[in-house]
Amino acid sequence: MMKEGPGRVTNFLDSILDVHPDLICRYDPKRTLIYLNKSCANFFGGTVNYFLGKQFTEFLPQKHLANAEVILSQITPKMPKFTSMQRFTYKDKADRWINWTNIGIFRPDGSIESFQSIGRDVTHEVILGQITQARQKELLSVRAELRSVIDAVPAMIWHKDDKNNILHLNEAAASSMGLKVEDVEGQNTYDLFGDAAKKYHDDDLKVIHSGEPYLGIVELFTPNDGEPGWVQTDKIPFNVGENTGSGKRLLVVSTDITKLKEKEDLLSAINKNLDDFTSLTSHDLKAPLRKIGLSAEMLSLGLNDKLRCSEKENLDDIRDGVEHMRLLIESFLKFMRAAPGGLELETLNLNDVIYETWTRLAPELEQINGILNLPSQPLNVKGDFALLGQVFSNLIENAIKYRSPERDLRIDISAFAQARTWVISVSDNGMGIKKSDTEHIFDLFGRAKPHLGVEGSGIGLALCKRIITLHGGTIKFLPSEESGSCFQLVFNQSGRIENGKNINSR
Amino acid sequence: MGKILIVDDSDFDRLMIARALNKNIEDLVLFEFSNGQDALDQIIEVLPDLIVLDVRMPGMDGFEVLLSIRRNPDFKDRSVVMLSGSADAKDMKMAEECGANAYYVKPSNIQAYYDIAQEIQSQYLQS
Repeated sequence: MMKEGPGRVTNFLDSILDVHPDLICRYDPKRTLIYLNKSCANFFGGTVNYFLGKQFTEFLPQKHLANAEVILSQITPKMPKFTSMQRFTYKDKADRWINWTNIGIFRPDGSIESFQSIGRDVTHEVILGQITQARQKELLSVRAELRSVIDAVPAMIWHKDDKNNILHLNEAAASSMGLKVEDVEGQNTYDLFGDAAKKYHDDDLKVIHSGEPYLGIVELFTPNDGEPGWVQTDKIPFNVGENTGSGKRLLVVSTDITKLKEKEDLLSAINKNLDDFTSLTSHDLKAPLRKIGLSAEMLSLGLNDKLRCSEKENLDDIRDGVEHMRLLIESFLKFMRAAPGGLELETLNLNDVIYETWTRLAPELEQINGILNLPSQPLNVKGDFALLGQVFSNLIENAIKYRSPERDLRIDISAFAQARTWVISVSDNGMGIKKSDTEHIFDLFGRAKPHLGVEGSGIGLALCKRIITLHGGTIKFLPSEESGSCFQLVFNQSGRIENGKNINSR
Repeated sequence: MGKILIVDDSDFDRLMIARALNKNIEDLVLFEFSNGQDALDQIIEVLPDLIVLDVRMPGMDGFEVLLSIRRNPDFKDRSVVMLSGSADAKDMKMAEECGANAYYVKPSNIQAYYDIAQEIQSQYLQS
């Protein structure tokens, strides 16, 4: 009979130990269990009473048993505690990871009285640890992948904070500084370059504090062990969140544009030369032309009453030709100078342009018994009068040149409005162009076919196309089953014109 | 009445403006030079009332001649009229900046020469 007092204490402790999740047991040196709690009994698949008095050698699987013996043999009065982690496979249950704390209880003479083992199920922690480890491995591989991506980029990339610390950079950036990535990451640029770092830091701070990216900074840059060159730099500010160490950050990306810059410089030098050449040439062409024209005029005035009618006409023809060529030179000069969008366009009536061209070519048309039909409505477009005149005179002159010997020439110029554009067609009943020849007619020197006895420079249609393109319009050849050629020109409509005046300009 | 100095490398162009000026101005004395340096060397002796200057000439161009004229205190207020083959806006602006009184593009018909001569006489020829 147990006394009531201590018995109640034992019951009280038992009730605590029974609900404790740890596996708690005590056994004598012969491995006979003298105590185990409910959790422990459950773990081994029986009741407390079933296991009490049994040696654990009877029910522990062989591999765990051997392990247990090794551990228990390590326990001495000097080192009475031994901890070990075991993966427990027991019967058909899922594997559990148990962290065992084994304690030897010794008598005063040093002989062993009993052992106490406390097993804590740490399966969750172990699995979590495994997951964490796998994640970490994955993260490292992603990082390594990202690293090799940014290292493969030829641009120089820096990731900095507002204290001028370089948090990350790629190989291109490090090598431009004459250093290795690992020597630079985490370093402050003031430590690396002293006061020279200030120039960049000031810019960086401006970007960081304004929050506005600073893009396309073109500057001279000399890499540590290379030739001086040009780089284009973008500075992009961004904030990192609380959980990644909050702060204001900066991404700096510099691209080597030395080659591009050299090409650009070369191109602008070429353009300058071309411009000078154009303007000199036109000046040099105009001077003798003026001389011819003025001389013809003086001849005409001086010999006024001595000249026959036809001779006077000849002199007038010289002056007309000179004036036409002067206009052409002026136009070419404008054309050569006009970058796309740079041409000064005024609102004009395309019909006036066509009419002016017609009056110039009328004598020639009359001579060959040709007819030219003009559109009647005003065709308001934005354009350059002389250049557009060039287009129509090229088209009409082509029609005259390539007219059919079998019939009188008839040229029809007609127009209709379509979706804010004027669609103008210039068609004739001439020899036409073979379908197979139409592909290159707008190329420079791309004459369709050598016509016996017909002069042509191969520039006319190419020039037409350039002029029309410069006006934002299009020109194409319309194939037709009938004889003759048809060109279709499309121009954007401009403000309304009334009596030759542009209403929009008021 | 007046003394006009014409600087142009083209004989023909000098002839054209000279004819037009002669027709418009009575008792005109004309001095012709085919380059800027000769004109500058002689200007002190000629003391012209007005100078007609071409722009593009071999050696000194018209702008350099004009600047030299303007640097001379005796001639800094003298009328200088540019008569150029170039209708380039850049050249017109340059002429204005160098201190030209007027800029004309060389015309391609005789009447226009007369008109220019008339304008020169009425507006820039100091009597």
